[in-house]
Amino acid sequence: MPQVISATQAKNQFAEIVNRVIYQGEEFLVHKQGKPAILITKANVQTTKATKFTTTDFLAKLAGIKAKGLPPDLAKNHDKYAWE
Amino acid sequence: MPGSKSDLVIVDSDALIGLLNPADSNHSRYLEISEYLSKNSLETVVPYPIILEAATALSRNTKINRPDLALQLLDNYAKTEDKPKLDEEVALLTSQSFKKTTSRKNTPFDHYLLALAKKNGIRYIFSFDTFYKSRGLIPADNLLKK
Repeated sequence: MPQVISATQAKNQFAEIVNRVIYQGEEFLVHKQGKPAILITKANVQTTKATKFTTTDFLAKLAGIKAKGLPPDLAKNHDKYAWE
Repeated sequence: MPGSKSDLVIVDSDALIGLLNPADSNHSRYLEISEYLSKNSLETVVPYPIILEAATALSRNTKINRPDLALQLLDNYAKTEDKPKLDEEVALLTSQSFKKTTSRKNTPFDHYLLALAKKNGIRYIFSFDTFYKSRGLIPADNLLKK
């Protein structure tokens, strides 16, 4: 249940209100001219890092495949294997 | 200069195949280099012709016969979103680099990759082919020795 405060109280005690919201999880309902106007509550926004699949990730993925049965010299002689 | 193309590492097909192949004598070194590049946020660039070259080696030879691996290579690359943009107008440079007397060991693909690196000011190459070192590129392997 949010604690009701006036706009003047909110203005005068804003720093303390912010701390109580963040650290104690309290909520405040600011009334303006006797009517509820603004709710101050802790934001529950997850910061999501954009994940892009880069060419470096691509190399890591290849390293994870572990293809068995390939000739040991395939990397060195790939041209020969490709076209012989 | 951080973020410039001189910090990019261009990748050759031997690195792609060496990473895939646990039987390769350099496999653990390929892995080490790949992990180093990732941990140090060094950006890599894999030109598409190099993907095709590696996929051909995996799929065309009847003794290897691994079209499934070639497909994984093509498929994973197709899903790669963040590819560095390069100036790919290197036909003239490639033709100038490839000579009639060039060793048969170094194919037009190698000369293309070299030209692409030179045109874009890329200094590092992820490959154990000594051809690139002899032409002024720095093997990515050297980064681990610093």
